[in-house]
Amino acid sequence: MTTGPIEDRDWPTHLRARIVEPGPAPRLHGFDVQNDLARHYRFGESVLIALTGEAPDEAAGRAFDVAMIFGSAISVLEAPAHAATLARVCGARTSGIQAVAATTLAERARKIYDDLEPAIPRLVVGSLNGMAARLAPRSEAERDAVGRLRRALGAFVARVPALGYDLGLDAALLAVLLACGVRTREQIECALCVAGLATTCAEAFAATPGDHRSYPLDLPKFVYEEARS
Amino acid sequence: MKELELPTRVARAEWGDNTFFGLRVGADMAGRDSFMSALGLAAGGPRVSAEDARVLDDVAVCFTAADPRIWPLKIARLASAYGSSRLAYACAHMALEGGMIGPNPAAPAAQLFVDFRRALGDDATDAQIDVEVERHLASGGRFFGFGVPYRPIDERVVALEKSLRERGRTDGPHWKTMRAIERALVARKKLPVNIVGAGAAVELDLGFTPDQIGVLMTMAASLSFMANAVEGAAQRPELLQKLPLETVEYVGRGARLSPRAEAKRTLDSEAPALAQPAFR
Repeated sequence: MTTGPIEDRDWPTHLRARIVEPGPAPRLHGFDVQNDLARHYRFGESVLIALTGEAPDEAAGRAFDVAMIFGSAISVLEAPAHAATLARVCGARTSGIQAVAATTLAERARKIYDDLEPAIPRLVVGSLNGMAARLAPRSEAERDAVGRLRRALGAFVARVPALGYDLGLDAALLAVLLACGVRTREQIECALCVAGLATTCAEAFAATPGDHRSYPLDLPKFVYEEARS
Repeated sequence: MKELELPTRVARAEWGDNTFFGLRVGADMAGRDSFMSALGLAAGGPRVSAEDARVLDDVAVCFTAADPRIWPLKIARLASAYGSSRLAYACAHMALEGGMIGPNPAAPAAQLFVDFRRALGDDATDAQIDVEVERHLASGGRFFGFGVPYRPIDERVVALEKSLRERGRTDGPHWKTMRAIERALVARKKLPVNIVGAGAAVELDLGFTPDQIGVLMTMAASLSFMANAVEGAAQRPELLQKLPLETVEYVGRGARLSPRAEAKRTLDSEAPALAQPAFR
């Protein structure tokens, strides 16, 4: 057999594990998963530890849970649950449904981040400075939802100065995530994706595989525009 | 209530036939359009002739570098390790979303050639090309479609050029622009053209836009992705499902107690009686 450009070069011989130390007693960022985290932290907090590398205090862990629960309510109106439901109707395996859900959720999270990225420094310090109109809720119902978020957060609101402003729900949730130490694009998009995965999949699983007839095929209508004669 | 309508130029299901970009699949396309020709339509491009479709075929075939050790193809192997070729195929494509290897540089490479032609026309001298390349480099511009990692030239470009020469297709304006830029770049940066740059040039000469070329080149990568996904799914190798522990080197944080475990330990040490199981 001839050699090629891969054989004729030296490559590392080991994979690098940077976050989870593998083995029978795995560690996450150095914390013993089974003997420490599982006994002293909730699942949401373990997500926060995974993303940030640090164990949160009780208040931040609780606030993160609140933000994740608020972010979990993705109905079939939104593309992730709609697409996952269609995958279910098409008879996809669970893994296929989850892949559709996760992919679409990831794209949704990317768009949320893209839309709000310019505001992140303002949300961190709690000074909207010219961005108030852009970040404001789009309806009274959304304003009410942010009010419920404030109430659910309780005293932690004091650690999210941006919540003193009239924010839309996505901006408010982002402000809470930032206050919990979730700061980078990767961390924020992943948190939003994790928040919605179970509910999105559950919505899909509630549909009947193969039940194509009860799906509103013509919603929305696609109006064909003849491209060529 | 919002208008619940969206426009589409793609297709419409009709009685007796399906339309596709204004053509009837059965009546107009079947037996006439090749897969690559139809793919050109799917990308939003022109309906190419049978001869042009063979050039698209050449690009797609020559793009192939399917060694399963290559990064995105290893992804297809890992994702297929539990037995699904389709999900693995999709994973390999998704892994390149926004990345700068594989087919992604095709659109910016094509745009580069369009911009060079717009700036210099088709009769630029070597000196004029050199000045434009220097200007682009000085402004921090990147030369997408150039650079061949780990080997002196891209053997796929050699294969593509051989096919194109046999078809008399190496005299297109974008192909010539690409070669002119390559001459200047090899002299300055040792950056020969790669298959993405070469493919982008020839597809521009077929009448596709940079964005459409991005789609075509993505599909060209499909051959390599699918082959690895199919074999990987058939093998379902336990080895890839989980590599042996001795193949990993842990470089993360050292072992430590969490703050809550630390607090608990402190409490237990200060009040040993409360550490007894009965009080837990």
